[in-house]
This record gives sequence, structure tokens and C-alpha cells, in this order.
Amino acid sequence: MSEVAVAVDDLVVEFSSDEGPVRAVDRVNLQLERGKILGLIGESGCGKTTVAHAMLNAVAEPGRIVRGRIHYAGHGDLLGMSEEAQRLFRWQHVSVVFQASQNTLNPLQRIEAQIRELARAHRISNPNALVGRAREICDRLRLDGRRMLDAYPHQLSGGMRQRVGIMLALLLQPEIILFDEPTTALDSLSQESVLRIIEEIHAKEGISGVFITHDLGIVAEVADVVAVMYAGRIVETAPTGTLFNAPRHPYSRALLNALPRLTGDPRAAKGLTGAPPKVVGEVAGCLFRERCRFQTAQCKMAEPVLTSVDADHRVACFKINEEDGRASV
Amino acid sequence: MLACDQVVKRFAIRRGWRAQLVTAVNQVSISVPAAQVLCIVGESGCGKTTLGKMLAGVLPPTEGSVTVDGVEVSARRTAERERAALKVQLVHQDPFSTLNPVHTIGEELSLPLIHHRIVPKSHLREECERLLTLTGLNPKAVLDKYPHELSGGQRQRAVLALALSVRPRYLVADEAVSMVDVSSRLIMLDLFLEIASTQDLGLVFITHDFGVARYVGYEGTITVMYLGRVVEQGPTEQVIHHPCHPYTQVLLSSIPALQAGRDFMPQKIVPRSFEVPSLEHLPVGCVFEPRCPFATEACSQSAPQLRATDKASSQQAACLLVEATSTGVVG
Amino acid sequence: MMRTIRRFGVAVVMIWMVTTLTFFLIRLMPGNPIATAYQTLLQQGMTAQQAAVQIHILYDVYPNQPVLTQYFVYLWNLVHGNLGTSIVYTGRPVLGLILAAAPWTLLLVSMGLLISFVIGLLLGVIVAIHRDTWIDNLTSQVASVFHGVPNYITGFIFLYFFTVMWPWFPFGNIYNPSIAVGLTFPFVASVAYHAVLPVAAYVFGAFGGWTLSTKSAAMAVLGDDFMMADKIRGLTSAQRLDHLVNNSILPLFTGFVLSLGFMFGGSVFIESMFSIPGLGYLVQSATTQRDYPVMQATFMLLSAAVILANFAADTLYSRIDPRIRN
Repeated sequence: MSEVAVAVDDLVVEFSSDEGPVRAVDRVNLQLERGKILGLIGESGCGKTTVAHAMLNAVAEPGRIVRGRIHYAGHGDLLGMSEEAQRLFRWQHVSVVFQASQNTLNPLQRIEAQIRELARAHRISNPNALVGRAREICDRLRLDGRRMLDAYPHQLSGGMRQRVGIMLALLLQPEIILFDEPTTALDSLSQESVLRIIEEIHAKEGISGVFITHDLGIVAEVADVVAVMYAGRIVETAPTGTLFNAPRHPYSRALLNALPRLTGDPRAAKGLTGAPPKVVGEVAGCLFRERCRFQTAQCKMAEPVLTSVDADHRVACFKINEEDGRASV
Repeated sequence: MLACDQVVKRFAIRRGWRAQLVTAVNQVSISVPAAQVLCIVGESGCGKTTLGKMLAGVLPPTEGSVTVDGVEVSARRTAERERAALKVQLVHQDPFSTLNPVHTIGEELSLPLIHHRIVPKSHLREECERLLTLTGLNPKAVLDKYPHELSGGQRQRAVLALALSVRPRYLVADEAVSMVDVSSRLIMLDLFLEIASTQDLGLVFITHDFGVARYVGYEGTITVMYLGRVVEQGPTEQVIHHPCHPYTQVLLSSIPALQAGRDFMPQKIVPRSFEVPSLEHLPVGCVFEPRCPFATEACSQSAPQLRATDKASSQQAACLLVEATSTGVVG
Repeated sequence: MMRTIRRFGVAVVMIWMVTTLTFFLIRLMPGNPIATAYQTLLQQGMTAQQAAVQIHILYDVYPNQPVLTQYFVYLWNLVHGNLGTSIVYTGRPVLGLILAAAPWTLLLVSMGLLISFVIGLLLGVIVAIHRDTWIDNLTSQVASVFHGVPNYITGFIFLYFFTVMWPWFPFGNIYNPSIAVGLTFPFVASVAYHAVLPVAAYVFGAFGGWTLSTKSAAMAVLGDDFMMADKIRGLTSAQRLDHLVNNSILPLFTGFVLSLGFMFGGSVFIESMFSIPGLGYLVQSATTQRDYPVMQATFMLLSAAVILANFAADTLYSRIDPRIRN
């Protein structure tokens, strides 16, 4: 087994609300191996972005990490570090490519000014060198470096924004990059260009990554291992090939089946009705059962836990052997 | 039949002291027979939204005409043309911008019903309930709610109900599901299809996703747009499985393998550049020439016209190289 | 650039329209002092012509001239920088009166505006960061209360407590008349001492509003993606605060510049209460005594200031927000 770059242990994140604390992330365990890309998929609101923010101890108010450990190889538990050590850890060791990069930049500053600010924040003695490095990365990403650094965030066009976002993520040479829906809202061609870049930097620099998306098609392109999240819990993890060829959890199967295809009977694909439940207080039973085709009395009684069904393949479901009636992909 | 003939839309863009005209839609002719589906596919900035707005009568074309069941609606408005224009309704991609945040769903739905005198005032509530039920909503649960109190899916349905309130014959849906999660996209598409078939509506579906286009328009036609022009059109399955224009091929081959299907497009076709050129500096010849992996000298000389790809099919492409590329690319 | 020139043109036309409007409105007001003086002269036994000449010498107008002619004469003088002479302070040029009064108003209101803006900005940002805590509740309540109380009430309270009950501060005027006017330490100190109470009255009336608007602006900024991303990028608290403040100022900027325009008129109450010989005082006394030329000129100045401030706000906003810039 190869080295683990980061391990998330027993992570619980709650958001306070009028009805009581809402569990956005519940007892999540994840392991990212060095040099690998872990796909984290699920519908919006399933807690996948919260997991990413928790991995940097930057969960937005009113959310808070209730318990858990974020163990980085060579650094220990992030949550145990001092505030200042955490601040310096962020971006130097783990960076993020955000969904809408231009919104994640201060609208009043040119990109170069923001890079210089980053240099100051991370106590980099030669800010000019960092700006130079930014220009180099721009070249590699087929961006006009001078123009990009001189631009204000709103002046960047669709595909450029995400590449500038990637440039910023690479700037401090982190070991891990979290990709938070970096291609959502992009056209298929821009999406492809971003994915190619991610593959390229992954191959060249051996960066480890977590790729968060609700689009299974994209995850299949980039991830080595996939974890499926539902209502704050991981319901299935498997190597990418296994997950897409032989998914076991009814939710994974439903997600896969909801993808409109370009071949075969178009009506074979089916959308997923209903919405995930909001988790307030104690939960009894499987959270997916309301939307599940295979639910039985057992699903109401107890909550299934992640269980190994195969090497590297774990599923949280009582009905994993249920046949779908349709051939999986 | 909802049709447009050689429509052109130009916008003025201010550049310092002077204004420059850009052509967002250039000589596009398309038609949707009653109760049929047409999908318009292209990247953002290709003019598909502008075309949709012109079809829906929201935006007047600079040149050319839009006709609804034989009545030209793009000309100066008369009562008859007004009525005809009402037969085409636009469904926006962002339900938040369509619904007035200070109106309840019931109030919002009542406005067009009253304004266009669709039903007598005494039947207002019943009609609202009918429309909401039609779009799969529970009238009791949403009639007195404000848009922000609804879930994303409910808002989407409310917008659809609003479009149906004036009893249109055609719906123009602009990226109607791009903001919906992949998992529930098909549910919304099913709703569109169901309403189109029960109400006998013609559907113009604007999307950047071929998967969505194929799901909605399996039996209909596809129009592929690039930089304001139609580059290819034809029966959906024909265009997707036998794309003739290099741009269509590039778009299709950029779709992740999982979604495309295993034996689809074995040969990856990559554009020479991933940047879409600006509308202000369009190439003289074929608009796709600067990015086209197959471009030749001739392509930069003159702009190709749409022409049939072969005698047997109704597929058309605007490419000088159609003969050369239509064979051997698709496995 | 083109747009700026066009906007400036619009501003000039608006100032002309306001000038015209006030010219005619003032002449519709009851109690015309020139007519009164003219009648008095006639009763004293002058002939109509002698009286008219006398009036012209005194007031620089002909009593029986048609209003329209008066208007064109006025406009002609105006574009030549001649605002006429005061009727009450016989023979003194209006421009001189305004120039003498303006510095005090400028000093008073710009100090008050600046101090209240800075206090409001600080409080607003602090409250937004600590929203829904006791800091927020207390500060927001206090700010709302002060926002609601007009500055002549606060002025009156200050006056009563700090000049009458505890006479810590001087009352009336803006400097000690026994000190020679000039840029000397005793004079500046005297002005500062006299300015404390009126500026404080202005600040107390204005900081609440700034606090509340800053709070809502800052809360919106705190919800923006880049504030979340700033933390993830490991920016320091100081840098993040900097982003927060800069972005919160944007929506307040237009209001701030407009307030600069309104400030000439905004100080009428405070100036008359503290007997400060500023523009507000001038407007008030000219109006009660029907000093047409002074009224005319000050009204024009007040509206021109607002119109020009509006122009400045529009033009400057595009300078500070790159998204508006073309």
C-alpha cells in the first residue's frame, strides 16, 4: 500500500440552524494516497464542499467541526496546530481550485497585486520571484501571463478564469490540490481543456488531489478512486473502474443511470426523484431509503455502515446484492 | 410551425469613443413544426440564447423574419401579431431572475392570466391550480409561497407553469436544466417532454449538452451553432452519430467517455485552440477555420454555405471539407 | 472620457435650470423688500424717477423693470462672476459674503462628515464581523437611535449641558474675536476649541446612519466567495480585514460624496444654533430678511453643490471600482 497523503478520520461537521444543529458531514473517513486523485461525488448539498473546507479547517460560519482529525503526512493533525501554523499550512501545502474562480478573488485588485499579497501572507522573501513563477505557470497553461497578471478578476473570460484559478493553486507548490467543482458551469470544450490541464499537472508534478463534482462523467475521466457522498455520509468507495462498472449502492447506481447517454436507448436513463433529507438530530435507518427502489423494513430500523465487499470496495447498504433489472454500464 | 428566415442580430458594443457592431446571430434559418422538438446546441457565446430570444419574440431581429403559424411576428406589432407572438413562450435558465421575489407564486401566475384575459377573474385560482398541477406541483403547497421559499426544482416548475399560463403552442427553453443537479436533470426533461406531448407543444431546447439534446430531441432535429452561424443541422441521431462538421465532431469528442458510451468516437478530435475567438474579430473565411484541426488554405478564403451532406439524408453542414471529413472519422 | 464630458454637460444644464427656477420662485415669495423700500421713498416725497435711481444705487436693481429683463441681466452678471450686491448688508458684494462664510461651513461639515464616516465605518465593520452577538445588538440599537434623532436636538442638548450646565466650551461664534485672524497657533486653537461642540453635534447626528449602512454592506461582503477563499489562501487577518473594508466602502461611496454636496445646506440648524457665521447662517438670515441677491446666490450654490457632487460621485465611482471602468 502506498503512502497516505492525507487521512480524514471520523469527521463530523454541524451547521447551527433554527431547528437545531444540522449534520452536514457525518463520520466521514477518507484517505488520499500520494500521487492519486480521489473523486468525491454527490448531489448539491450532500456535504462534499464542506468536507473540502473542513480539510483546511475553513468551514464557513455557522458551521463547525464537531470532531474528527485531518491528518497530513509529515505534518500531523491540522486541527491540532496553532492558528498561525494552520494559516501558513493552507495554500503552502494544500490549495483549492474553486468552482467560480473569479468570484473567489478580490474584485478590486489586479491578479498581480493578489499574488503579491499571497507572497506577503506566506512570508515569501522575494515577491518578484513569485510573480515570475506565476508568469511561468501561465505559459504552461497556455495563458498570456502578462495580460493575466495585469487583469482584474472580472476581465477574465470563461475558460481563462479556471486556468488562472489553477495557476494560483499551483503557485506555492502544494502537495495536495482540492478541486471543488472546477468545471461545473463550463461548456464541454472548456471543461475538456481544464481536465487536460489537471491531468497534465497531475502527471508532471505528482500532485495528489481531491476532485469534487456532481458530474460522474468527469470523475470517471480524472479520478483513481471515487467516494460517493449522500446526506453527509460516504455511502460507497471504490476504484474508479469498479465504481462505474459494478456500482453496488443503489444511490451510486441511480446516479450513474441518471446520465443521458449518446448511445443506446436514450430512455434507458432515468432521473432520480426526490431530494436528500436534511439531517437534524438523531437518525434512525438509512437516509437514502425514501428514494431507494430496494427499501425494506430493515432499512428503517438501522443505519447501514460502510462494509468491505471487495478489496478497496466498501458500501453502506443492506441490499447490495439486489439486482437492478438493468445491466449496469 | 415556428420558423425564422435569415435572421440576423447585431449589437453595438461601446469601445471608448466609438461603437462597434458585432453580429451575434448571422443569417440563421430554422423551423420547428408544431408538436416537434428542435435542439440548438453550441458553446456559450455562439448566439443560441440570442436566437432563442428572437424566436420567442423577446428580441426583434435586425434583419430577417420570425413567423409563428404563418404570421410574421417580427414585423411591427398588430393585434393579430401580438396574439401569434404569445403562442411562443420563453423558459429562462435562471428561475430566480424570472420570478418576482415579492410576489407569491399565485400572484405571479395571475398577472399574465389577467393581462391577457385568459380566464375570467372568478376562475383565476382554479386556473393557477391547474397550471401548477400540470407542472407536477402541489397547488396547495406552493400557491401562497414566495420564490425563495421553494426548492430549486419547485422554482423551475413554477417558471414552467408561468410560461404555460398564456397557453402557448411553442416553448423555447434556454439551458432550462443547466442549473439542475445531474441526478435530477432527467426528471425536469421528462416534465418538459410530458407537457409537450400532452399539450401538443413544439419545443425549442437550447443547451450545450449533447446528452440532454439527445434525451429531449431523440425524434427531432439538432442545430449546431458556432459564433452566430448554423454549422450543422439534421435529425438528432444522425447528427450525433454521423457528425459532418469538424466543430460538431470536436464538441462531441470532448464529452467524457462515460457519458458518450464506450464505442463512441474512438478517435479523439481536438481543436487547435480552446479559446473561442471574439465576435469583434471574426475570421474572413469559415468561422471555425482558426480552431479547425482539418482546415486548409481554402477555408480561410471564403465562408462556406450550409449544404446537404449527401442526397439521401436531410443533414446539412457548412463546411468546405464535408466530403473529406464525413467519412472515416466516425467508427 | 466622452461619458464624463456628457455628464458634466448635463450637470451644467441642471445648474442653469435650478438657477432659473429659484430666480422666479424667490420673486413669487411674499414680502418684497425692494417694493417696500420703493414705497417708503415715494411716501418720503421723492418722485418716482428719483426713487428708482435711489433704489438702483442702493440695491443695483430697477424696481419697475420687467422680471424677464431682470432675469437676463442676472444671468449676464452671473456668467461674468458678478453675483450682485446684498440688500441687507447694503452695498457689499454677495460673492464676498459667500467667500467669507464658506470656509466655516466647509470646515465644520467636512470635519463632521469625515469623523462620522470613519466612526460609522469602523463600527459597521465590527458589528458585521460580530453579527448576532451582544456587540451587534447594542451597537445597532444605539446607531438606530442616534440615526433617528435630528442634529438640532443633539445640538441643543450639547449646548445645554456643555455651555450652560458645565461651561466647558464657549458658546457662539467660531473663534475668539479678541484674537487676530491668521494662521497663528492661538487662532487655530481658538477655532478648534469653538468647533468641538458643533462638530460633535453633527457627528452624533450622522454616525448612526453610516454605521447601519456599513453593517449591511460589510455583511454582504462577508458572504462573498472571495472572503471565504481569502481564508483558504492563508491570508492574514489584517489582509482579510483590508479586503472587507475596501469592498464595504464601495456601496457607501456614492452616499458619502453626495453628503459632501448636501453639506452646505445640511448645517443650517447647527450654524444658527451655535451662531457660526457660515453659509447656513447666511442662508437663514438672507431668507428671513428677503435679501434677494444673497438668497439667490446661496440657493444656487447649495443646489450646484449637490449636482456637482452627483457628477463627482458618478465619475469617481468608476475610478474606484474596476468593474465599472470600461
